[in-house]
Amino acid sequence: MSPWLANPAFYLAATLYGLAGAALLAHLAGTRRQVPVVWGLRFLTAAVVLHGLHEVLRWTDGRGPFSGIRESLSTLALLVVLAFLGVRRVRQRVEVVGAFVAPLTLLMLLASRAPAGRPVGHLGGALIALHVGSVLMGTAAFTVAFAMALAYLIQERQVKRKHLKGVFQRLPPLDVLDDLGYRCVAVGLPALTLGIVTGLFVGVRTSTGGPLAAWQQYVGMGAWIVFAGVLVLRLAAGWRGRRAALGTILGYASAVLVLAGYYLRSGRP
Amino acid sequence: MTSRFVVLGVNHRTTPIETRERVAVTADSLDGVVRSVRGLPGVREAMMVATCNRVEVYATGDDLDAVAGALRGYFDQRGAVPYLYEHRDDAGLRHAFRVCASLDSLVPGDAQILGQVKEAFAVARDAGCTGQVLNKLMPRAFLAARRVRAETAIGHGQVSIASVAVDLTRGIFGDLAGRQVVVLGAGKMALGAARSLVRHGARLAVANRSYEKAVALAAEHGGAAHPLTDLAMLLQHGDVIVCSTGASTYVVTRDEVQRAMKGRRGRSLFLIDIAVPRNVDPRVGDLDNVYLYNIDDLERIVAEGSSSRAAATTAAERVLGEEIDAYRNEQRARGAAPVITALRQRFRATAKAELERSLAKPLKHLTVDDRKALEVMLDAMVNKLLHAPTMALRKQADTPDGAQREESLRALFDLADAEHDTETA
Repeated sequence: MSPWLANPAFYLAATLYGLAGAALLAHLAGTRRQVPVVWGLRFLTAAVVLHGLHEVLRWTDGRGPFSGIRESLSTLALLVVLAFLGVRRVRQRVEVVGAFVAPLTLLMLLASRAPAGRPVGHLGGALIALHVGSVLMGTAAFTVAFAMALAYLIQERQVKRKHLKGVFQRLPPLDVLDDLGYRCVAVGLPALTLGIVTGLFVGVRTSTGGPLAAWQQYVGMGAWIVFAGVLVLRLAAGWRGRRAALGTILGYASAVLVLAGYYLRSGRP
Repeated sequence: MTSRFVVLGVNHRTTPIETRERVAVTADSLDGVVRSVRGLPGVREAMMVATCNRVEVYATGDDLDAVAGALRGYFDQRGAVPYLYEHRDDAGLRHAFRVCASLDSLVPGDAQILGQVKEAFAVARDAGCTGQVLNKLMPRAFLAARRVRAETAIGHGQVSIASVAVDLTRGIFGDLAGRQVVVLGAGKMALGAARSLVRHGARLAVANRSYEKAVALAAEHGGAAHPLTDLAMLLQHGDVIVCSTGASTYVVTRDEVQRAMKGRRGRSLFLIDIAVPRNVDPRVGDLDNVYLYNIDDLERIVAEGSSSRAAATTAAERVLGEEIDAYRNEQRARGAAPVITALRQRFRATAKAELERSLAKPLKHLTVDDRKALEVMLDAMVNKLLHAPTMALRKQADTPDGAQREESLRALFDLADAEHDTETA
């Protein structure tokens, strides 16, 4: 890696994610001095460019996007922002949801620089790449779905409590948030399914057992069941809105626990 | 003295919607109710303003205590006495003017209230319940309200119920194109809100107890007509339901909406209840994906959106103050008018009698032109002599001093007969 270039790219990207989150949160909160949403988007876009540069430089240094938990977290952060910017291109007026996406991205990026122990198993080969790549893509979609769900719950609370100033005016409509959340889960679930299936083979090949790994698998399956439930109940029983948002948040919490499991395992001597 | 006058009532500011529902009077029953109020002991004239936000009785009588007591009894039967306000004479006059000019509305500048008070006055007048006092007072209050609207910015940049309905619908559904708006009833405000939604691309359906009326309204506003018996189907397929029927019980119940939500497969449903009494069971708002706003909710939002209207309101209050003063002065002048007329007649009659006596003997040599000049001179003298007392009487007509002076003049110049002659003439 070229640290003289990669390190500034990393820190600049992190700073810009922070600025994007702060600007979008300030816009959402409606601070006295109104912050235009476009500032947040510019910071976010600049951060993505620098983050991408950092990823490329690291890869050229021999550390691919899935070569370890640290690299995977950084890749996940990039995928999350790209997914969010993709959603933004499809549906207008959702920029402000970046107020939840940007801080999560920053957290993932900073976590990717935390000291880690040995790698989890042998993270090489096509199957591993497929496994990790699928899980990361699924998690990125779920992260955006989580942000939409969070925004939905806030907006729903505003409408139910009849507070139609400020946050209500800045957040997207309820049906838009609900629909985008659903689509993100619908995209994320097949990716996670592929990740889980390939993970079964990876698990056989690698020697990463132990109680934490088993627990992690159970939670992973739990996350899959919750997200599948969100989709099935929506289609079969019309579970939309608040229930779907709460289901998405629960599923995402499970997915985060799985990630945390990897992180903890990577930190063990 | 200006006319004795009392206003008793409840409004959005003093009274919760649950109580306003109990005193609500529908347009169809207003005529009968105002007649019954006019029939209360001591009430000489009466009119009733009954809108979603207020139910007020404007009344006169010889004994205002008796009138107020009778009206209090009317509101007591409906459990509204704890919330009742009462304004008498000048305070009542000021209240009536402020209501007409929409300065007593939740949102100053509300364009509907003047029309509503005019309708209430027309109903009372046609029912023979108004007389000298209200027939003078109310048209004057309407004129003042028009002047306030013309000369101030009170009606500019108004946030309306319709615009709030559009904002809310957008906040829930996003794009309005293709959304189904259903109007239950035939309320003007409901149809106005629905029209705004239709302008933004929504489709309209009108349901009414009378299918013929629904057909007429649907044809007028460009929508589909339904009988009210289609309610279950409309709840299942509509996106925005605007309720404004005259029903005294809930038209849309929690169970009905719960059943409809199963058929809707969780799609959001937005109910706007503009009616008083309310048409939608308030517990409906607790259901998932159901959003219920009643008239108080909407008007509070409208008021929040109109909070920067302090300057216009101040200007409107100033104009209204001028109008109220002018009306009071006219009333005072009218109060002193019989004494002033009698006094002038007495002076003119005396001058004329003396002139005729002089022209008969000492001045019988005068030519016709000289006689006319003498008549004009005497008229001018009477006018000049009486100018100061007339002005003083008009100015103080509504005060105890003024009344005392009028009595003194009557006694000093023996005006009782002259006043009687004036009245009979």
